[in-house]
Amino acid sequence: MGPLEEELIHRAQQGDREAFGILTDRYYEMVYVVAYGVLNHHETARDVTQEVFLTVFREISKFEGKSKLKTWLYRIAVNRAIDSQRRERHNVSLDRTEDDEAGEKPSLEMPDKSPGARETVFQDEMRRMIQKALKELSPEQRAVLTLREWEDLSYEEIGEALNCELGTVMSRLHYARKKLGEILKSKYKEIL
Amino acid sequence: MNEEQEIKQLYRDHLKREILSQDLSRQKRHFIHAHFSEGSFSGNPFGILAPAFALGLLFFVFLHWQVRPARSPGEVSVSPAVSNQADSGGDKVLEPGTSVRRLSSQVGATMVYQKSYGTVPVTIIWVFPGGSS
Repeated sequence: MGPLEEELIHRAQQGDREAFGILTDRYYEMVYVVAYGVLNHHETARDVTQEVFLTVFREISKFEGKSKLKTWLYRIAVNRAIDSQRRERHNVSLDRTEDDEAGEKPSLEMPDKSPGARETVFQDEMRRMIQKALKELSPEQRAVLTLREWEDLSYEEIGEALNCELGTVMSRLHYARKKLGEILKSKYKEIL
Repeated sequence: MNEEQEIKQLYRDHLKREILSQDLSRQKRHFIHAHFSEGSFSGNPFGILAPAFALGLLFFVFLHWQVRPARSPGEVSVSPAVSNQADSGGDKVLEPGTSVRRLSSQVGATMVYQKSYGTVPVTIIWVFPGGSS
């Protein structure tokens, strides 16, 4: 935690909203990606991300600086995203979004066979397959996958962020990679 | 590239595409402006309540004018010189507490004063077509 960040946190703890705005500007994308990684849904990821920063600002006085601010943000983001996912399960929306349609089967229209179009079709198909694979994981498994494969955190850092044992982190990551690998391998070969 | 690295690359490429499909910069700017800038609503509790305060003030002013005690006829700038003249009509009582007297004016063709009916002040304007008596 560099001195500048320390100063911003201190000012935010005194109620300086602009100082916290600078911190928000620095970490917004990071929190969004983590939230999206867990949720697999853009609109909800946006809501959770903003909720995280509002919560952090409200609770910033409790931050003692024993861990990095980033670690705290990871923890709140993952917890909020998982809570949001649980709430979503109870409230099934009738409104279909682009995220919902990502896992659907492709249309039956005759594909354009030009090289550019074929690449687009391939990318779309890959996106659908990845979304489908991710949906088969639990939110906790997606959280570990995102923190490891995107944020490049070590197992220990993930354990600290999620407040869970090292063994749990490794187990979830192993399962997530295995699931992703199985589905992608079979469909990947079909396409090739 | 081994399988673990392939999966990592696939997942990273996927997330990158997903993130780039959203205008996160604009989303972030809007959010920071709304909540963490100097003039943001959530940063200024008075700001968010200003319309309510304004409405309250207007209501208070309205209430104040409505319940302001009516001035007695004696407070008008020109004291009306009025004489009661008994005529065949005499006094007519229209409702309890209110009476109308036939009057003639010694101050001019027009006479204005206020009379209260309960808590409601009423401005009364007399016009004497025939002028003062």
